[in-house]
Amino acid sequence: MATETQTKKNTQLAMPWTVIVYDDPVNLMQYVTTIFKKVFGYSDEKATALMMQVHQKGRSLVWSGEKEKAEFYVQQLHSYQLNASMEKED
Amino acid sequence: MAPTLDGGLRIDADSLTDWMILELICADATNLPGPPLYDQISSRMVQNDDWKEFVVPDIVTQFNDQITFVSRAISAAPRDEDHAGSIFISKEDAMTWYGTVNQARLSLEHQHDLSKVDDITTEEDLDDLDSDVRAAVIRNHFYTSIQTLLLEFVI
Repeated sequence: MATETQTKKNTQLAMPWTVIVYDDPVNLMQYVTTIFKKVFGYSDEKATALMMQVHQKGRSLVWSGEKEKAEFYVQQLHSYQLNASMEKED
Repeated sequence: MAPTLDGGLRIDADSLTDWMILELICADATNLPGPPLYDQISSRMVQNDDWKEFVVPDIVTQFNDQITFVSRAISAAPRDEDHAGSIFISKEDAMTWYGTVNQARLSLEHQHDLSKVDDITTEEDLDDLDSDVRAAVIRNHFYTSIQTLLLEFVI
């Protein structure tokens, strides 16, 4: 039973977190692309595609992975005045 | 406004009015209505106690420092007796300037819903607007120009 509980806990911890960026009426498209490249090290192509998703769909899942890193990325995005949050993947 | 050879940006001001317009960047940035800037950009983020204690204060300070830096840079810029002078934005300071101008645009957006104002293509379009909104549209256009040049040539 204890092993089962521990496994469940480990599985929960290992569940990936997603970083989400939301659209807003102020941040320029080129700026959002620049910040995605700066924060995540994405290529111009990937950063532009994600920025377009934010612009057209209102939000984009820009990264997923472990919790601590997600927190770090959200902190970075907030410091660049982007509207961002993180959620645990289902 | 023009990019400089060392990778920065120069903003020329030729009159007291020009300096006053530059000073409005910081006035607008500090005049954000509603909740503080950080609360607005993190409204969808579930914040635990550690986040509130260790992350939020740093970012709030950073936003305030951006405005203070730009305000001092404008005040300290040398100008001659005819009020002509220039402000030089170095590559290192570009993000600080960008952040302050962004705060100013965010403030104007929240005060006047500028994104809902129809496309302004002629002077007659401007004349149709309420004077406060017209002034905000013009400032927003100027601020966006600064940001565009910073992005294109400096950042």
